[in-house]
Amino acid sequence: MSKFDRIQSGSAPSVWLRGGRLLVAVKVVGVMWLVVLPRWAQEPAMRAALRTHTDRNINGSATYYTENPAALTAVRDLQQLQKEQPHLLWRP
Amino acid sequence: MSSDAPVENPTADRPSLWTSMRRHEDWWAIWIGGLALLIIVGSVMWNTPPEGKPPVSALKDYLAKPGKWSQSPIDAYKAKDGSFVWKGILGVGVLSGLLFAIGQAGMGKSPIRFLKGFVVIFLMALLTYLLSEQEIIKYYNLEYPLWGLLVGLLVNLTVGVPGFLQPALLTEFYIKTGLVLLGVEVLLPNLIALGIPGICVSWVVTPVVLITTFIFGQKVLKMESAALNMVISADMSVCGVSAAIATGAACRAKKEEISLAIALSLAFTVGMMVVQPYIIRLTGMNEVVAGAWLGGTIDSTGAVAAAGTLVGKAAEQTAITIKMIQNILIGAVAFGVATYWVSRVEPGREGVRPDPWEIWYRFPKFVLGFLLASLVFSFLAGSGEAGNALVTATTAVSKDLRAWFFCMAFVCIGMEIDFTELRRNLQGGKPMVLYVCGQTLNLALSLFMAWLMFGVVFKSASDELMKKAYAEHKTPAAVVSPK
Repeated sequence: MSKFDRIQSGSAPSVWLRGGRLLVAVKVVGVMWLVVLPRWAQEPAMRAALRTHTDRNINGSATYYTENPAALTAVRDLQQLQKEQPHLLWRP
Repeated sequence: MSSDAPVENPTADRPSLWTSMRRHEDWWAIWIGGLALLIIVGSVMWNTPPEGKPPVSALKDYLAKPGKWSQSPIDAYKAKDGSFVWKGILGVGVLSGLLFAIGQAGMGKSPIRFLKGFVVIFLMALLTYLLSEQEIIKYYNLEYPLWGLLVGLLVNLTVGVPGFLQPALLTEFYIKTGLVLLGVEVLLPNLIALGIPGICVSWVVTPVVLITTFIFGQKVLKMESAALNMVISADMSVCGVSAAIATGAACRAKKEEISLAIALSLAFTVGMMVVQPYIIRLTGMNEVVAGAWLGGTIDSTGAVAAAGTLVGKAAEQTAITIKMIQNILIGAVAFGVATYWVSRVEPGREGVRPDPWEIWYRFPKFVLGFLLASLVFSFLAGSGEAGNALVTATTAVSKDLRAWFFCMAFVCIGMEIDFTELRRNLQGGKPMVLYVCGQTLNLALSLFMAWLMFGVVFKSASDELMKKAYAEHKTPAAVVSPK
């Protein structure tokens, strides 16, 4: 029986042990997000890459186009282009 | 959402449509999603904008989510003007809690018991947003569903899920209601943004890849779960997480199947958004063709934009637009999958051919709410400037609410995940093989279609797009990627 099975089947370790595990997990997450990632974000190469996204209004973690401001700008530009040249994208 | 849900006996007494509309979760997702939309549209119409300014929802400051942060998570709670967004987060919590409590009461369950658990689920979703909004996490396209799963899993695997949370673990309800809200963002007029070439790359290649991958999974790999096969095929060929959620709900996939498909998609996306721009630069590919290729193949919407920036301005704009057109495909995909499932897959297990009433009875009704929202708001968006402005102001608020619902759903999935089921799905590595084979076909077909459309048939349009992209940026876009 794996540890996942043990936890799910109810024959899990004591409350203290489980609480301790949660604390360890929280610490790992805390160190990662409050120390490692902020330091990495200050590295010059990473900083420049991040600035590119900010300058171009790109949301790198958008799950749908409406969450990406750059998509709305692109659509507006294309609508303008289609007004100026109606046949451009419709006739070869 | 379980595909093992007991299939009703066709001869048994069934609740009337009216009873079903008052009691069934699918219908309540429509009522709640519809009510939320009515409130938002009302808040836009009621709020008179200053002269010459576009309309804005009066609720904009009261429905928000944490923003991007770099050094301190406290920055996530600051708006651009330096004010705190606490009232926006509190507003989402109160509105969501009330809406779902009404739904619970309507379905004959205790709204009080629901609200007790909901407060914790909402706080966990807030923590999820904090993790996902760190700027490096955002840069690498590690979207909130992944962190929602992680936060839920942390509780699940350490202290376990307390009993009082159970009434608020409404994964399917949150997803279905979120999908009704997503319908507002599926705007059909945007389909023609890139004319014929855009339609060919997004709406011809994508369905071909989706159907071929599904058939490959069923006939060649002989995947045990048709639902898992469909969810992987859809998220790989259409648009990652949002397609996995929509098709997973439409074909009643298990939570573990949706999670597995999303994890696979995110893992490959991170690789593809780095490797594909390198291949493009190495081969000296035309930027517009390259953009169309990126937009047609990289699963995730955010990653497409990120990969486009590594190639150039024209590639970035083309990639974003192609992906947007693909995004709109999820309405048709969700409807097609739901219809196929209730008319062919589920009856196939019983060996009976269903009549139209049987198909209607089994059909996931929230999909109708999703489609109706899409059609109404598409009509409004295409009806002129006033309608378009109303749609823009509505989606500016509804997208945040929808994202909160999905985020809470993934927190619940993390807490409910069944590892035995997850291991069973992973056996033999078939999901991975399916993804790799499907994506290989996608890469080849999309490249061919992008080249044919933007490099041959519409070459002059491609040149014009290139010229326009660099009209304001005289030098090619700086290629900046972290070492």
